[in-house]
Amino acid sequence: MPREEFDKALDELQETIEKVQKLVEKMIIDSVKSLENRDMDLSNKVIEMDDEVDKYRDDLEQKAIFLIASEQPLATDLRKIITTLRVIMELERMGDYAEGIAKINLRIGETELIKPLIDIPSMSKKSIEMMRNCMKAYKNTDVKLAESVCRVDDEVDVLKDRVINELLQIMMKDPSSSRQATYLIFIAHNLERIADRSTNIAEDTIFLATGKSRSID
Amino acid sequence: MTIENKINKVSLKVKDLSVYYGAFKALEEISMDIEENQVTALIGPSGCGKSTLLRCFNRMNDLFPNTKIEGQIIYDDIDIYSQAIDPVLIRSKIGMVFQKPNPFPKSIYDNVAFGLKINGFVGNYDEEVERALIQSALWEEVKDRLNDNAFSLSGGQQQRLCMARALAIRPDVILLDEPTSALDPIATVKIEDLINVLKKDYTIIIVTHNMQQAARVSDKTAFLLSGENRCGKLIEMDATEKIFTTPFKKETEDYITGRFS
Repeated sequence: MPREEFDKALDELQETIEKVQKLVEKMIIDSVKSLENRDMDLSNKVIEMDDEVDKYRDDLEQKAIFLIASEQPLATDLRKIITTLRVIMELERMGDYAEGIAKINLRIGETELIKPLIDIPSMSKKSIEMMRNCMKAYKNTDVKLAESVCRVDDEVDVLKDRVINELLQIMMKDPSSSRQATYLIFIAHNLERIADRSTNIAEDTIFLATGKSRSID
Repeated sequence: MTIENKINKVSLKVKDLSVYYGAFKALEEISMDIEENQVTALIGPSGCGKSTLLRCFNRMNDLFPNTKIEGQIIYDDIDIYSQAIDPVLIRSKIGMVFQKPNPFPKSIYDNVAFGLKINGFVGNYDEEVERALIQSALWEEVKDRLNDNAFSLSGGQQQRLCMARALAIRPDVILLDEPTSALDPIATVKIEDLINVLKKDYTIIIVTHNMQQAARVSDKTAFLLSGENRCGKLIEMDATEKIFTTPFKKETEDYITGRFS
């Protein structure tokens, strides 16, 4: 088969994506774990991991740009490279949200939480599940799986609304809890955005498979 | 992404065209519409018959011995292969520029005036030569040296001179057979710019091996491929944007992405 070097380069882009996926997944899990366990060290580690993600992103972007310039890809090849650039951007943003959660945890500081965490860890779990599925769909160019990812997004939205309502109730009853409650709302928001980014990757997968850019409802 | 695929007026209609060189069938049952004032690119691997097809449009294949044509090419409601048609008249309406610049060993002026002379033109030669050289974007570079020999020009200039020579006799259609394959990137850009300007007034068909060139200059792209019997067939013809982003046929995808085994 001709273009072996080009195919190898495309595979390398894919490998970088998979590395970043693993890193970001760990960042999301650890950021919520650091919140649950009041673990400031773990939060700091999450923040450090973000630099690593950024480095991978920069490296992949440069390689992809050079591949476009040197190989002049067309059709599926071109969509593969374009999709790689989109997906790495989504993953990097997911990493930023996880970093955000870790930073909020540092701001809350080493005090007890105003309530036991139930829905936030569920949101985290569902977001991770979405991420894994959309990345699996992307890797296998599986349009059906990509479309199914988005249904879970609705569940994450419901959970976020529940978290916000509950925290508003707490704030009304006890205004001194407002600061931490607001922080927890931010965290719920970040998790919801992480799930949205998975939806974007699912849409990128559909673009990769069909050439059609379309928003999934 | 929506790909515009509007139908323009048909300039040349190819109907079930087969071409034989002796016993060898070079093209099999090609049917396609070449639209007016559009650039149509013919792409495909070497030996797929795209140059043969290009030469059919102005009966240049007549010049090869033992060539047999089946089917029709309709131009202006007339089958150009019908007995009553003079191929020289066809070639004055459907001009051609070849892969390697091939000016005559004459002055720049005489090269452009040549077609007018043999067609018995009796008007103002100076005006016509100037018009053709302006149209081919060469005028500014040669206006002070029209009597110089055409071979004193660079390769890129020679190719534009050949374009001027084809344009001088006011054809409707211009056939370009890999017009930039012998040119450097700068001369190539000039020819491509020229194609973009000329398509306002002419119908252009271009054979090219450069995928990006086909993608840049053409509106429609036809992909030809020869099978195991080495006989060329039309695999797919569509809007250029469609062919180079989401082609319908796997063979097209394999070819344009360079994954032909």
